[in-house]
Amino acid sequence: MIHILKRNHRIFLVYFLFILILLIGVRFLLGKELNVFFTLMSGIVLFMYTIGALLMSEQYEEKHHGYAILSALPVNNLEITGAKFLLPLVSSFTLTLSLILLFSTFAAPAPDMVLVRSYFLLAASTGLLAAGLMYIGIFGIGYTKFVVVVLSLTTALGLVPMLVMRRNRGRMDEVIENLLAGIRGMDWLVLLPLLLLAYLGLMLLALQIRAHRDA
Amino acid sequence: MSHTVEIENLTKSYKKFRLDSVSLELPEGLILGLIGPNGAGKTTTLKILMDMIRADSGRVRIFGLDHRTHTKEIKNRVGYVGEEPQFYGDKSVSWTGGWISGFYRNWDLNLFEKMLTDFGISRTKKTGQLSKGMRVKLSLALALSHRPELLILDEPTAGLDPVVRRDVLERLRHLSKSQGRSVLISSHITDDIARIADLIVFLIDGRVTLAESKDGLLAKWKRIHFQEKALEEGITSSLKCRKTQVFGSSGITDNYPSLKQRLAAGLDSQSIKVENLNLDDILIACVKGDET
Repeated sequence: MIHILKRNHRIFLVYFLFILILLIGVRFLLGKELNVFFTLMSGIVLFMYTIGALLMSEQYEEKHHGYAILSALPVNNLEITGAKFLLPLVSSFTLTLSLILLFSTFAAPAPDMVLVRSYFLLAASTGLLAAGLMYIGIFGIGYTKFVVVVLSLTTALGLVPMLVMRRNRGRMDEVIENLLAGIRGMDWLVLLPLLLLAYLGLMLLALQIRAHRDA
Repeated sequence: MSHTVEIENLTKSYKKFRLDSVSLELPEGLILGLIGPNGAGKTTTLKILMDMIRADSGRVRIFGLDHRTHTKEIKNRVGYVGEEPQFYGDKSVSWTGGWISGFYRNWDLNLFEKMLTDFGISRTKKTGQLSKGMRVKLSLALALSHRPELLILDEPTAGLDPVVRRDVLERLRHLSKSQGRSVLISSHITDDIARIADLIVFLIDGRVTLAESKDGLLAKWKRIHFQEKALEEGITSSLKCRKTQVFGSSGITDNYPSLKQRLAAGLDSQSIKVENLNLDDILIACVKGDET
């Protein structure tokens, strides 16, 4: 498994370092007070990091027929799938931890810091589950077809916030307050093990799909 | 003699092609040549052996192990060269060797380095910049460097110049004869197979139409040239690819030893002549069948 990680880790590492350096740079341009826009964007970047690095990594595999290369080597499906799922998990976890540490340098009331931590964990968790689903899609229909499906889905998903805003016209402040309260109230001691279980479940599903597909 | 590869009733269906109940055996230390026209199912068969394609049914055993349940163990002992060797094109030859070596238990770095030198492959060149012939050579070097007990080669000589082609074939023969390695090689270049193979399997339209030792095959298949009425009617009608020309007729038999006695008189009187066939002629006869 280590040799598969050796092949794939670079993209995740480069993106990780780029994002971290960028966010640290921006952080020190800001003052002591917690910046709402920076917080919001950091969470989105955290979510996008996992998906972006995964797509870049798989595009590379597709370009060089990486799975065909692996299929001729003495490595089994569990090792391939395990390595693929391990990279987003480790890198996303590390980036989340780094962001939480970075944001602890802001001066903010304790409830706000709880909200920030919970928001980052939510962004990372969502990104991780999306990554699991993406591997299932890529293993199932191949990278090229999958990207077409993802682009269509993303366009469709872009309509959701618009629909929510339209439906709640005039009471968006209340909706946002409820959303923030929901995020703040998340019990991550319970949610994190559940997230890991769900991710493991996605990995096992991806493993099954790989086992029944030709290389 | 134990068998390195045993395939029983292998079946795989695609929309426009079906590999139909393919069975074959490769005894230890021998070279088996899988011959067939393009699209006959050679690559599909070899990819199933490598567990790169899932068969619909049938059984494959390599080194006596089931190829689905002992994939990793088997691949550690097999060297594979695919029809179109694939590498990470942005990586150097040296990096590729180093990366692939990590997957094998018995990687011999010295052997790999020696083969790079022998094949004239630059270590620093990116694999994406290699010519087709060089890619095949690198693929062979990678396939041989863990000293595999079995080599599975899919059209390995395609794209190679005659000098390197001959060298590669000689290496394969040496591996089999001196070191007892088994080789399963597919090709539609029958000359290559004729040069090194002990056993021949003809795969045509997804079916094994012939499986025999090369010597046996060449002894049985002959072209018979005969003048009118020089052959018994029963023999004439059994011939494949019959042709009638101004100077007489000809046809191919796949059972020459049993006809030899009955042809003796005609051979003596020179109204019958027997011509040896090469694997190309036999393949064409198999593909065309009784077509005249």
